[in-house]
Amino acid sequence: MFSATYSKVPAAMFLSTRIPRAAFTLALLGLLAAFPSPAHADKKEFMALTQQIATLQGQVAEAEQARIDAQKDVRRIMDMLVEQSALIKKLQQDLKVQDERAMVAIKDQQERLSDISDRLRGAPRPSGTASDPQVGAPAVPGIQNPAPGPAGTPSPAAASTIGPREMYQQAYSDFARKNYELSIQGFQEYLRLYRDTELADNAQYWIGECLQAQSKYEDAVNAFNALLRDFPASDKIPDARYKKGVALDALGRKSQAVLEYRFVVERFPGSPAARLAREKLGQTQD
Amino acid sequence: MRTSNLFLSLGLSGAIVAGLSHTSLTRAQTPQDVASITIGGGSATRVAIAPCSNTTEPLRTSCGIVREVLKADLDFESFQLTPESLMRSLPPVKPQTPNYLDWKSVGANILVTLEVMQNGSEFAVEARTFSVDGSSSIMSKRYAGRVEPANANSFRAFAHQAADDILSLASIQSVTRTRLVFSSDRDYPDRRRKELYISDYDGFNVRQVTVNRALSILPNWTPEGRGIVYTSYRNGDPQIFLSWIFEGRSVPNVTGEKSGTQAFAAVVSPDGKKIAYSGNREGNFDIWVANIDGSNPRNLTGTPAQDTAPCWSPSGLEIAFTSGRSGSAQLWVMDGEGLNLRRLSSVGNYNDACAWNPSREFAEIAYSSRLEDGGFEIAVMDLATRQVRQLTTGRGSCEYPSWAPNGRHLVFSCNRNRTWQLAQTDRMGSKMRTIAVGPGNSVQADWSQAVR
Repeated sequence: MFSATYSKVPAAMFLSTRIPRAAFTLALLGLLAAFPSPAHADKKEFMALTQQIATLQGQVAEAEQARIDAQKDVRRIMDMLVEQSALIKKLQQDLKVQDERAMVAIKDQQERLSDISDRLRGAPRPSGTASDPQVGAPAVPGIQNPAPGPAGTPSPAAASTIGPREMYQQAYSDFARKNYELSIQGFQEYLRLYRDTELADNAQYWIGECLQAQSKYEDAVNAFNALLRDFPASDKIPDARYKKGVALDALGRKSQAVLEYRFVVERFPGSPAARLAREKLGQTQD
Repeated sequence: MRTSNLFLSLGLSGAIVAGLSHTSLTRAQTPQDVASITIGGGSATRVAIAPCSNTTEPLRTSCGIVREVLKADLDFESFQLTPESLMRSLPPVKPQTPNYLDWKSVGANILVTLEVMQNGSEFAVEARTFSVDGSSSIMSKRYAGRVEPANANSFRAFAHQAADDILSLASIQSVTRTRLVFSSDRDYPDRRRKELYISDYDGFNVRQVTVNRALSILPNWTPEGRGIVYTSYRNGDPQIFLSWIFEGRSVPNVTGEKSGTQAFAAVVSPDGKKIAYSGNREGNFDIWVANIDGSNPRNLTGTPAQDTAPCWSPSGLEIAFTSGRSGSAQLWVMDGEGLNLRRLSSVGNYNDACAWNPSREFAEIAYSSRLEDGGFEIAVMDLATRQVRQLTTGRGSCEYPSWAPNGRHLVFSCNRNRTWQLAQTDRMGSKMRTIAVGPGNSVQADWSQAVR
C-alpha cells in the first residue's frame, strides 16, 4: 500500500526539498577542508564554526522530519483522492441510472401530454379544411363500458382525418399484427406529414424495425442511417446503432457491425443497447 | 380423407400424466360441393340444427349429446340458431333429403341434420349441411371411431369436429378443438395446494396433468399444444417446470435456479423456442428470456424496479410486462432484446397479467386492471387507438385473461361468488359465461393455441 502510494507521488515534490539542503551541507564541509585552520587560528572562530555546523545539522534533521511528515501528508491525500475518485465514479453511475429512469419518465410524460394535447386540439390535419365530426369527442383516453357490436376499424373517411397520434399508433398496431408493409407505409406517411413532432424519430426507428422483421437488412441499415442522420439528438440513437449493427451482422459485414457495437459501448456505456453490444462484441471476439 | 387424433382417457404416472391413450377418429367427406356460409350483414343467417332422427337407445342419447354440443359450439361463435320451440311443430326430418319448405317456414337459412350409426364397437356421426335458400346440399361429413357408447366425451369430440367444419364454411377459425389448462385446488380440501388440469375449450372433459402435491400455478401452453410450462413450489421456492404431457416427461427447475433465487410466470414464445419469465437472480425481479430448455438466460430489464408477468406479442418480436418502475404496477412493452422500452397503460392504479391477442385481425392487449380500491376487472387496450374497454364488472375480481387462438374470445378467472371459477367472454365483453370445471377454486386458465 505504502509503496504504491509513494510511487504515485511526483518526483519533483521530493527533489525540491532534498537537493538544496544536501548541496548546502557539502559546500560547507568543502569550505572547511579547503581552508585548514592556521596555527594561530582563533579557537573561538573554530568553535563558532563547529556550533554553526551543529546548528545546521539540527536544522537538517528537522528538515528531514518535515520531509517525512510531508510524505505522510501526501500519502494521506493520495488515499483520500483514491477514495474520492471511487465515490465520484459511483455517483456518476447512480446518476446515469437515474438519468435513464428520468428519461423514460420524461418521455412517458411527454407522450401522454402530446397525446392529450393532440386530442384537445382535435388532431390537427394537414389539409385543415374539412370539419371533423370527431372533434369534441371525449378528449382524454379512458375506460369505456362494455360496448355492444363488432369492433370498429377506422373507416376510410376517418383515416384521412386522423391526427398524428392516431396515425402513429395505427402504424404501430400494424407492426404488432405483423402487417409490416402497411406499418412502413403508415410511418412513412407520418414522417411526411409530421416530421417536426417528437415521435418522428420513433417513426423512423419503427421503419427500420419493420424492415428488420422482414429480413430486409440492407434497407434496414438505410432506415437506421436515416435516423442517425436526420435525428442526431434522438433518444433512439443507441438502440438504432445496435440494431444497425445486427443488420450489418446479418449481411455478413462483421467489421462494420463491430464498429457500431463499439460506438454504442463507448458513447452510451450505461444504456441497455450497450449491454447487448458488449455481448455481441464478446461473440465476435470468440 | 384426413385423420385426427383425440385422446379419450388417461392414466397417471409419477409426477405427471403419462401416456394419454389415443383413439383414432376418422372423418370422410363425400364428394360434394363445399359452399360457404355468410354470417352477419343486414339480416343474420339463421342456422337450424334439426332434432336427431335416431329413435332407439343408445344412439338417441348419443346423438342428443352431439346435437347439444354442436349447438353450443355454433352459439359460442355467435351463430343465430333457430329456436327449439319453432322446430317442434315440424314433422321429423329425413336426414339425407329434408323438406326445404318445412325449414323455410321456420326462417332457417342453413339446416344441419345429424344421425348416429353403430357398426359393432365403431360409431359414426353423419352431419349434413344444407342451404335452405338454395334447396341444396352444402356439405356432408362422417365422423367415425371406436369409442365406448357410454363415453359422452367421445361424442362431444365428434360434435366439436362437426362444428369445426361448419365454422370453416363461415371462414371462422374454429376453437372447438382447443383446450384449456388451469390451476385448481379441487382435489385438496385444505385448499393449500393446487395441481394443473386440462379440459376441452368449453370446460368439459377435465383431466389432471400434474401430481406435485404442492402449489402448481400460472400454466402456459407450448404453441403446438404438447407441453405446458408452469410455476411449481415443489422444491420450496417458486421454480419453472416444463411438462410434456403426452410423453409423461417433466423438466423441473428449467432455468436452473440456485438456492435462494426464484423464477416464475414463464410464457413460451410464439415459435416455441424461448421462454420469458420473471426471475430474481440479479437481486430484484427482472424479465428474463432463455431458450425453452433454460439455456442462455438473459436479463432484459436489469433495473432496480420489480418486473413481472411477461407476455409475448404474436410476432415474438415484443414482450409486454408489469413493472413498478413508475411507482405503481403498470404495463410496459419492449422488444425481444429489452430495447425500445415504452409504457403502455395509463388508466388504473394497478395493471397486471397481460395477454396479447394472437390474431392478426386485432391489435390489442387484455389485462387485469384495478381502477379504484376495489377488485380487478378484465380490460382490453386497443393498440391502434390506446382506448381501453372494460369487459367485466361486478363484485369481487376477475383476473388472468387468456385469448382463444382466433382472438375472438377470452378465458379468465372470477371470484364473484367467493370461489374462483373460470369464465369466458367474446372480445367485446357482450357474451359472458361461467365454465363449470368442478369443485374448489380454478384459476389462471391458459387457452391452447393449437388445434388437436
